[in-house]
Amino acid sequence: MNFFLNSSFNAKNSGIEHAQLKRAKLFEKFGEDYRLVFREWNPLLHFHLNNNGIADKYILNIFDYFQKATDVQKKTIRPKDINFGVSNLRYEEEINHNRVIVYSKNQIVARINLFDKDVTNDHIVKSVELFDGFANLYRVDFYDYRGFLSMAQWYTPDNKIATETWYTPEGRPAIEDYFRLNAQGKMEKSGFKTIDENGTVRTHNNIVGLLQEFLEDVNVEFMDKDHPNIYVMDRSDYFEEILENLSSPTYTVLHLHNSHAGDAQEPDTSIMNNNYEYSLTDANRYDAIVSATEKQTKDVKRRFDPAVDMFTIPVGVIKNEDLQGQRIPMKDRKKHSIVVTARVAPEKQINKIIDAMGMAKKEVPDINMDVYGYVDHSNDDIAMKRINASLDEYDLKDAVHLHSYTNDVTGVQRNAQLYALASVMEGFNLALMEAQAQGDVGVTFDTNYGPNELIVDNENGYVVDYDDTKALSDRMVKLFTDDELLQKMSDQAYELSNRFSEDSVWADWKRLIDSAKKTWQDKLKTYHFDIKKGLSDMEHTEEV
Amino acid sequence: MSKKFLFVNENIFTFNSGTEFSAMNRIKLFKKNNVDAKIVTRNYNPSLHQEIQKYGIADGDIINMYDYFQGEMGPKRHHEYLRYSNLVDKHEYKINGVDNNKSYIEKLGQRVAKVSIFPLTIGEIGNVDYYDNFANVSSRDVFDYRGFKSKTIYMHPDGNIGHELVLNKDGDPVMEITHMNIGEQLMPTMYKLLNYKGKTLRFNTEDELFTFFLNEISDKDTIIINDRPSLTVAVGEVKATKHKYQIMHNEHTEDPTQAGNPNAKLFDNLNPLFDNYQKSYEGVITPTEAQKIDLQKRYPKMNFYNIFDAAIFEMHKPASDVTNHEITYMGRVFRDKNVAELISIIPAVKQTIPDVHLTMMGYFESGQFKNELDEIIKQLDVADNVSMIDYKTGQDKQNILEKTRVLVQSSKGEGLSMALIEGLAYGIPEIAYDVNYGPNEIIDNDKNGSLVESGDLGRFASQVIDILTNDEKHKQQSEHAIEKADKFSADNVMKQWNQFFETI
Repeated sequence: MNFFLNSSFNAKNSGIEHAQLKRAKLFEKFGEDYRLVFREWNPLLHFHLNNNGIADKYILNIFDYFQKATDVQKKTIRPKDINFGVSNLRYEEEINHNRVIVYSKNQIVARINLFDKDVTNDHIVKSVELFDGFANLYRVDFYDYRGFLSMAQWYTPDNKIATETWYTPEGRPAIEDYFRLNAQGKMEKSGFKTIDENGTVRTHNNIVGLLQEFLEDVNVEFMDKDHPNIYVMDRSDYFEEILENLSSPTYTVLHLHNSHAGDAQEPDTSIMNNNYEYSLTDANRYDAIVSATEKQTKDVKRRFDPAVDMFTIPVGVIKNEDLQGQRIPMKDRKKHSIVVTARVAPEKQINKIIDAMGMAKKEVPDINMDVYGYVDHSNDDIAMKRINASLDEYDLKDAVHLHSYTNDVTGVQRNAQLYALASVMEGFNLALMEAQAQGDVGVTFDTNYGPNELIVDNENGYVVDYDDTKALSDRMVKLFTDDELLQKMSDQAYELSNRFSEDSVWADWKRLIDSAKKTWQDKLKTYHFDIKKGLSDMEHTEEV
Repeated sequence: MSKKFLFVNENIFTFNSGTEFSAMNRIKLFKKNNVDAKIVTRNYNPSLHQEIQKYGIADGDIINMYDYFQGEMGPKRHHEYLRYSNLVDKHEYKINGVDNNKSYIEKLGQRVAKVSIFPLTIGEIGNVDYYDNFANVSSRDVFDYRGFKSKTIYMHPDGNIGHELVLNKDGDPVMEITHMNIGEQLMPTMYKLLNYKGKTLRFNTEDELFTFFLNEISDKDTIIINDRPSLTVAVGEVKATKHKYQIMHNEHTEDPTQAGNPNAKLFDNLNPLFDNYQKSYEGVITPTEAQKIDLQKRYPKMNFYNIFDAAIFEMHKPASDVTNHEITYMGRVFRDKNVAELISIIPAVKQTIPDVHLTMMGYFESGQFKNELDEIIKQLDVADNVSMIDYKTGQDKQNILEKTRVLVQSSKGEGLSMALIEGLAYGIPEIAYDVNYGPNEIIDNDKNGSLVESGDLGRFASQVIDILTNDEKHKQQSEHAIEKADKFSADNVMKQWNQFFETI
């Protein structure tokens, strides 16, 4: 089985989740089974994944696993479906709070909170705060969106959580954790316990123990001599420590989704990216490393000289129908237009693109840009402050349009001529790949990793020296003053997109899988399943 | 009769009082006479089916409320040996057997749980305490004697009980019990039945749940006999049958000498019965005629019946030829039994009979009270003449009684005194204060023993000396005791019940 490891999945996600979705679809298309593995409890996990076209059978959440809730018949639970065991109930809706208060006579029985409006307008129960007959809040129940009580928090008289219990859909406790004062007098999570359907109890100091129990179980459950258990660590935290020590064989892959170096422009010498510090240090204890670009693969090899295989597999995949779609000539697009579809965040340096536009304005007076993406207000709104300063400096307020978000990324990319980037660091940049598939000509700094590989200098766009805004500006002028060149490079953008075709990326994965299959046979030779025979009670005979 | 009887009690404890002994005695009597009857208990007790074995009560003779909701009413059919239990994943955990009473569960050197072995079993699981990271007991599994996990208790961070899940044999919760504050006091605040006949039902107290339970197991032909004044309200609220009776096992007034005075202060626990719940009971059964008359006078609108609350099933080896100087007190070693006074007569007896020996057989009110008695024994310098041997049942108890020359009791009030009745079955002469109620039903003065005016220590001591020194008198009184036993024979007590049945 192929396992893709992650933490969670929500309404808004980062590039790693998008990469996983694309890979999932690719595997489905080529008939290779997989599981998306998530380690965080999330009552909306299936909802969000289903909305992205992932069926339940491909979703393996560790809480679901212990709760026997991987495959649940969906139900809709509305406020009146909750059974309190109290009669004479009165329901008072509080529309502003999106909740319903339940009384018996004049005593509060419960507060029922509904799933948020951005999830559903239907009145579906999200959580229930339960009160006893003496008006103590003694417990809060959380419901999975699929329609079952998933977790209960049991309270202390002074209103703190003492115990959390995760239930099977039938109501049997499956996982528990506890909150206690530590030696410093601080309330902390103090341990986990699992109870399986046979009544076997296992204890863990923390979530990592729970995760280990899960991986030990799952790895044996899916053990198959013809299909290696391949674990792709898309987010490696926690998994990275367990998988190097699992008691049964695995084929573990460290998947880099970002620069391995803290300063991507100094890949050989700068301090390691904290996210990969442990896993890269231990990389020789795994079976393979995947990076999304040839350039990063080369850099990683040069810096760490790993003994394990390295594979370059793009994280982006362009569907065949998109590659074969109608090509829009440059003359039919908005004239002298640039598009950016990205978060408006400091590390994207959109202000530098504006600076380049400003410098180009004299020769291309109608140069214009549309930016689509959520604004990252962190760091005292530094990204927007810089953008506004540049807009003021070059008087570009009317030429640059900042849009919050678009659901039609393809549409806006098809209508633009250039896609510009000035990022500090990238892992791949799916947005640029998608823009190129729509014929956008790219201009970028020589940014590691992705932009400087997706854009092949002088073919489908230009790569200028890192942080050379003037050069970036010059390339904009060059492209916007030479229609023939612009069209030629757009044609190449379409052509070079074949690098990310389904067949091409699948061939890359296939190489990895085939390599895993080869080593798998060797791994299995030295592995034996646990003893099962001779352990049960043969001394006593039961009177029935 | 097609009626069925339920004898309501709190529990069959490890140490039982006359109230439980009376109910167990009665169940045997009814069973012997083919009258359908069961003891019904309220308290959660994982040892229940072990305890009742000591008294010859069958698993089918008792219905416990928790058993009922767990769907586990039957006898022990399974031994949950720790070393063979599914509880422990032996691939990952080690069982470190410390001694016969406990084992630790360990992983990579860390102690993750302590298993207490079920008392009086070999290696079967009792309680399992699970430790968290900080070595707190975070939760506790409680196993039933019958070999299944019956409850999990979850602690509050301060170590007090937080909530409990009562489980059925499959491990599914059937009940939740929540412990939160009422005022400033941590108490059980909720008993919630889960999926009982498809429904969830919430109760504020265990007694409200108990009432519901009694309704569930009763119909209009059920006759409920409540042995426990503490359960008067819970039984009184039962609507499924109107045939409800309270049995008295003690005198009813705080001052036993004033029992005949209609204005004397009642014991507090009787207030519900004679106040708001008079009409909820068809009658009150008293163990003596005298108490019946006193109560009838006091509550003319209520019905009273007199039935002895203990019956003698078999006669034992008679004490007529016991020639030692053993005197025995059998019963609860509690302040209200006035046991210190018994010790205080020993020095006087000792002057005449240096080797006099008092055995006090029964469980103590508290450790503190035992210390007080030890102190008295030391002060009176009678340590060699008094033994406090705790609670005994079965053959142990029989061995003591068979070697008893005289049975003594110095309580200031009684319902009837089961201990004195039991003494008759061994033909033991008895000396007791002539108090309300009971001793004068059992002891005919100077025939099978002596009735002493309450508080007359000198007379009590001289009667003890007399019976210990006078073999002839002892022999005669012993024979009279054997004759007297007939009054409380199973046949005669059943006759009283049969008369009562006709009134229902």
